[in-house]
Amino acid sequence: MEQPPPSSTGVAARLQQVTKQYQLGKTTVHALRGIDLTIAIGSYTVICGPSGSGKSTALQLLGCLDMPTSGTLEIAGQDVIALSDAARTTFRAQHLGFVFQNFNLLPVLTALENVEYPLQLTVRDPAERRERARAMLTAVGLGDLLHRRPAELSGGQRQRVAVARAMVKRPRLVLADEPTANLDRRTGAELIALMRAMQREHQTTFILSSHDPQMIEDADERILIEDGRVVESTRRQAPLAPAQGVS
Amino acid sequence: MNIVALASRNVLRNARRSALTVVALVVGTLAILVFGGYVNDNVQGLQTITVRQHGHLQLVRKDYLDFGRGDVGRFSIRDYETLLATLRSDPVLAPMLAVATPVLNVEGTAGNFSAGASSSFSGKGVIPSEYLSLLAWDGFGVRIPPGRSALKAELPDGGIIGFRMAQLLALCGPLGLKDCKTLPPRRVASAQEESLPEDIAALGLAEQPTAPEGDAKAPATIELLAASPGGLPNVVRMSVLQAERQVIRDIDAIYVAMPLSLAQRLVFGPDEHAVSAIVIQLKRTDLMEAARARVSELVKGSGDLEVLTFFQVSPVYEQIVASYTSVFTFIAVLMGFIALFSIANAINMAVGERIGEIGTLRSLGFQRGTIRGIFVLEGALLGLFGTLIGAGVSILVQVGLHAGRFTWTPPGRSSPIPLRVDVLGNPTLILATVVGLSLVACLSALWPANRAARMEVTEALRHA
Ligand SMILES: Nc1ncnc2c1ncn2[C@@H]1O[C@H](COP(=O)(O)OP(=O)(O)OP(=O)(O)O)[C@@H](O)[C@H]1O
Ligand SMILES: [Mg+2]
Repeated sequence: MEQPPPSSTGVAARLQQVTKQYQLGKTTVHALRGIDLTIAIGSYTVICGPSGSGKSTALQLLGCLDMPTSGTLEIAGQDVIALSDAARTTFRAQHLGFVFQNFNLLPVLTALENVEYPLQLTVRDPAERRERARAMLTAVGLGDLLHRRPAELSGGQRQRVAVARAMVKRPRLVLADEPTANLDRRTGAELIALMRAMQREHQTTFILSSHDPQMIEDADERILIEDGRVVESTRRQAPLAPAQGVS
Repeated sequence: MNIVALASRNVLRNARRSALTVVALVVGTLAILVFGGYVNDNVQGLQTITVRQHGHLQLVRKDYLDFGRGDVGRFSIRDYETLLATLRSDPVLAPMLAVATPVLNVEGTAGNFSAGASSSFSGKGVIPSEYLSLLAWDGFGVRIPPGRSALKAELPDGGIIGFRMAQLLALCGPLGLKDCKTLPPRRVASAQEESLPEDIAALGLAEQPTAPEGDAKAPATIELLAASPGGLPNVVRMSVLQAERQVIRDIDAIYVAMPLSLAQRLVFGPDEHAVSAIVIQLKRTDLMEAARARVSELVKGSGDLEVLTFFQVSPVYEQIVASYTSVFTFIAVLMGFIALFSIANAINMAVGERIGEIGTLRSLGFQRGTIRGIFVLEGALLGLFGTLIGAGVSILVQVGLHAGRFTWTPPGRSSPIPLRVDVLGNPTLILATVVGLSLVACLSALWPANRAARMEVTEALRHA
């Protein structure tokens, strides 16, 4: 279940003619006005664009947190629009990882428990869950802080826990909406380097949104959105070239 | 790390709010259990006293309860000796029996004619030794001292009267009673100076004994007068062995107990022997239905007999129980509402504070049902915790009252009884309260929990 089955298309996500509208009272907000996107498996994609352009909306659709108003949405070979709410939730549990701007850790759980907790949805054996969580936290450099609660960690450390939580289930796709927005430059840069390293190591597909030029520069693929439309899509050659400055 | 652990950590995290909610539940549980225990104890006390007086079952002529007082002859049982033998020897009934004994109820007028005092009485004729066993019943172990009876088979003319009846019949002196109010003389020494007709004053004084304190050891005797089945008055003389305080004041003033033979002489004259009822007292009240069925079967061939329960003989028992029950129900419902609102409020606040967390959990792949479960569980934990502490405190109250040996005098009674609450004696009530209030807690948590479960992920994440 956890290893991606060989995909004939080699596509992690495909959006076709996707629109998203929000109803704000009597006015309709067109957040996405017809987007076509294809995300390759194992790629590191950054969505950028001005505030209000629809980055978060696009990531919510890619993360199966919300459904488009129209268009087709295929994630890891699955037509997710066809799924029921419960099936989509299970799909998230199995295949998707999230890193949020505000870290979104559960305050009553320790770092280790935060990483371990969602694994109960996909891994039966508690010992395996614990072992995987411990290994992943060690991999993000928090092997010494396993039993700290989020309140006892710095922002950068919290976001590392969040990255570990997203990665521990070995997802097909990790979505990170402005993961460095609440971090200072240095810490943000470290986090990006970490995510890039994890992404390479596990061959996971990452989709991020950011204003951060550093993040954009490092991406395999850069998608520029303006006013709900893709205005530019740049693919860099040799997507799996080793990155610099990975700790 | 499972959903229970998550819920309990969240409960502990908000310690102050959780504590307040738990306190509300402790108070609710305490109120239900302590009042329930008090009711339980009182009902047991009441039942003990009632069963001592009336037994559990009474075998009587059909319609005795309605018409027996008016026509003692017609509504009496003549072959009671045979019936008793049947009941006592029945292999099914015998093991349940504490006492089976004949009783003849009689009403009439009692007079101490030497003192010019008389009063109506309501008496019974009993077999002295069996009567004593009746009065000792303590099927619940409620520690109410057993009723005493000085009746003796060797003293066929010796009877007992109530303490207040002794006062009414001017027997304080002759019986040497303490704290007994002597009947004020009809005419005091200065009667002549007052404007009462002299002849009446003289009549009163003529019979007035001059308080012979250490006087003759002559036994106090009274005359009992009752109507025979034929309608003619019968009179017997009874020597008063003792005045005994009866627990219920009104009964104390009319109470007469005498050996069955004397009562039979009073009602039927010397030649006839019959009783009003065969009183059947069982070892335990829970045997009553079985015993009643068996007695009915055994006496089927013996004419127009019926078996009455003590509720029927003494309807006030059920009235008192019903009034206790309604107050108890009111308190229980009220406490249920307190639990409902305090839990609903606590969980509602928790949901409001943790919308972001709800979004996070849903994005991680936890289903709506799990979200609902987490909050219902938090309500259940608060409920369970509060009710269990409440149950513990209630038991402490019981132990404390027991150790303190407090007493009280319930309405309508003349002597104090131990103030007790019987919480432990009713494990069903403890269980029902803990389970019931915890269920109320789950139910009231369900409403905010559903609100949490219904939230859309993206909307919830906006609050993170
Ligand atoms: N729930 C909503 N209800 C109404 N309008 C919304 C909602 N969510 C987003 N929008 C609107 O949709 C548009 C796209 O919003 P979105 O959050 O995707 O932008 P963004 O590119 O992520 O912006 P930012 O860089 O500020 O995060 C905006 O105009 C926003 O106001
Ligand atoms: Mg955004």
